[in-house]
Amino acid sequence: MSTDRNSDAFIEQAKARLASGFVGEEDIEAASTPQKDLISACVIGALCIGAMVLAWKMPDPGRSVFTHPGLLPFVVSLTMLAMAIGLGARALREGGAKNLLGVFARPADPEEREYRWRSWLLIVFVIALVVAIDVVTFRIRIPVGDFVLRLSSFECVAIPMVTVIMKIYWGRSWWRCFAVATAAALLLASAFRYGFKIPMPGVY
Amino acid sequence: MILEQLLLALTPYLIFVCLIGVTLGILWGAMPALSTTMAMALLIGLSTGMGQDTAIMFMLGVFTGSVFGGTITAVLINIPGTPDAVPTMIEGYPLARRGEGGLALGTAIGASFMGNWIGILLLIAFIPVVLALALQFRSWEMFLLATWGIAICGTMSAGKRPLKGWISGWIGLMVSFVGLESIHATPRYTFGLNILEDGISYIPVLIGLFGLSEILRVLPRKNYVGIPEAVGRVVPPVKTLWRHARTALRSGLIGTIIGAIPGAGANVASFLSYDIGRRRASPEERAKWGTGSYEAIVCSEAASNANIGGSMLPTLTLGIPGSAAAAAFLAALELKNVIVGPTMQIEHPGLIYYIYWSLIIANFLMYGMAIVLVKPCVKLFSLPLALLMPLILLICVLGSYAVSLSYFDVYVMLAAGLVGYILRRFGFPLAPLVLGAILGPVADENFRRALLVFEGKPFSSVFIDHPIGTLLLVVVLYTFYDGIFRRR
Repeated sequence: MSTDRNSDAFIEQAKARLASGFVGEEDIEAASTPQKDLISACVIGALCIGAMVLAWKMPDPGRSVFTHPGLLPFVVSLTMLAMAIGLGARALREGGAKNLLGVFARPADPEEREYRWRSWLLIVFVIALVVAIDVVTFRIRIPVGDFVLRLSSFECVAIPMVTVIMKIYWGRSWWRCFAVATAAALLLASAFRYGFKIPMPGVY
Repeated sequence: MILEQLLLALTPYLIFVCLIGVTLGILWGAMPALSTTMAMALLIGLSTGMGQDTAIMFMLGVFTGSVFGGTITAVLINIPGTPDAVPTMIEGYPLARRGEGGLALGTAIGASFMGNWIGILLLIAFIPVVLALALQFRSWEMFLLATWGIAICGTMSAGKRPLKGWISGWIGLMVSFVGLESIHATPRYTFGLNILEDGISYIPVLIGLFGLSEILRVLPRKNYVGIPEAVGRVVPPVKTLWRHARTALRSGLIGTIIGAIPGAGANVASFLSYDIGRRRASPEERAKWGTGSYEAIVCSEAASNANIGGSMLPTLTLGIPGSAAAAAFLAALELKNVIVGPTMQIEHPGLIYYIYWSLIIANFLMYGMAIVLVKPCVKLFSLPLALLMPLILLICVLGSYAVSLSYFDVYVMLAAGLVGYILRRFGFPLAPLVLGAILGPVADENFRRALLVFEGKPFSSVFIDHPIGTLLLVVVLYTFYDGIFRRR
């Protein structure tokens, strides 16, 4: 059974994690490599310098440096720069400079390669969904007796977008994906609109 | 006042709301990859349409239910629904394979119930003490406390790499600086955009970090669906629990203390309690650890559930969330104009008692619903994440929009989700970032106010006139020292 095949390895992995000593609230060990740490340190360091310059240039309408609006942002950026240097130094000690750009290279593992392009595709879909709900603005009101059925661009954008996302990641038939997406979008919109009296985004 | 709040909490409608919250929490927690923090973050949006009492009852129901929910999958299909259920998985799944799944789950339910009680009772006992102490805090102390909160959160979240935790917290601080500052209304990091002058609300940041980034991480994976083992009869075995009562008490204490430390949530509590439990177990019991030990389940479950009460202690008394899930609860309170902190008893008399009662009611309902829901939950496991995640995406959009009916917040959620996804890929914890965003304004305002107070005074007066501040300064410096030199 597939469960049995996976279970032992999974339990051993968990035991190894427990045996490794202090375990943080979020398991970041697996995602941390010296190369990634070095890249992070460089990017964060550059951002910190930018933030420090902006903090320094902030106008000071007060009489004292103690009330300068940029004081704490400057101090925070400076200390974060020190942390980034510390992170970078540790990464260098652990050999982070070797094969630095390997982080961005095409993974050798086909499963990881597939995961990566599926991630990129999903990011594109999510951005498209959020932007489309904002850009498309209209509202339809359909009186049904005393009740007025309202539809906004939220439903009209969410239904096709979620259908496509489901088709790609769930892999069932178009009709099934469409039915689930429609039911979910209408249910959620109704709960917010009628249940909690919260107007939907994407109406003029 | 205590009785008044009890009567309010016992209103049938509120009990019903709590029941819905607990049920939703258990189901949510039982689904692999759907964490407690994610549930809490997404449901903030839903709670905006509720009254204050309803929202508190609902959120605490979800919190209590979802912490337990992770246990079900851990025992039955060897996938921890929430990360804190990993030790339970190590012990529970071998028991399920031997046909003792029901008994293992029953023990977990009983231990969770006991753990919750310990957490709640310690919360009730210590709140007056911490509140009395917190009233002595002035600007300098508040600044140091906020700094310590972010620093310790970084240390506890990042394990052996505290620098990454602190950087994450400091990024959160930088996010909180965006907008008009509080003394002169000077724009900071707004880049001339009017929309940024109001600042960046931490609620969409929370939803993006724990909702969207999780979707981006999990959905592209071709997930494997486990086949649940036969559950058997789920009855909490009173005899087994009684035998492990001491263990439960010790684990509950560990869970509550860990919960009170900002950033250390149910995950650290359950791992630590499991580790301590293994060391203190009798030789014959220790031999069972790792192959199916009921005592180990008690250790893990009592600690992770006691953590709820513990995390409420700094959240309610100091306004410093004890965990990421508590940060979401804090956000829900803020939306209801509830200002938590030292003056909470004065500004919202009786509310603290209402929160106690809500936790107690949620605990009773969790106990009942856990027994009822275990078997129906098994059916839920066959629901693929690829079906659920797109629907959660819609909740992220609506939830972040509902907070202030501004679509800008949806863009903030999107940006936070993408940044959170990148940070996770590069091994940065996310909880300190949220804590930084929450505590940033507190730190900023109090830091500059304290500097004005100190202006013109001799340097030594900073230490002599502020003994609590000096103590806190030592604690902050020690936290950094410990992270840099001792956790290598």
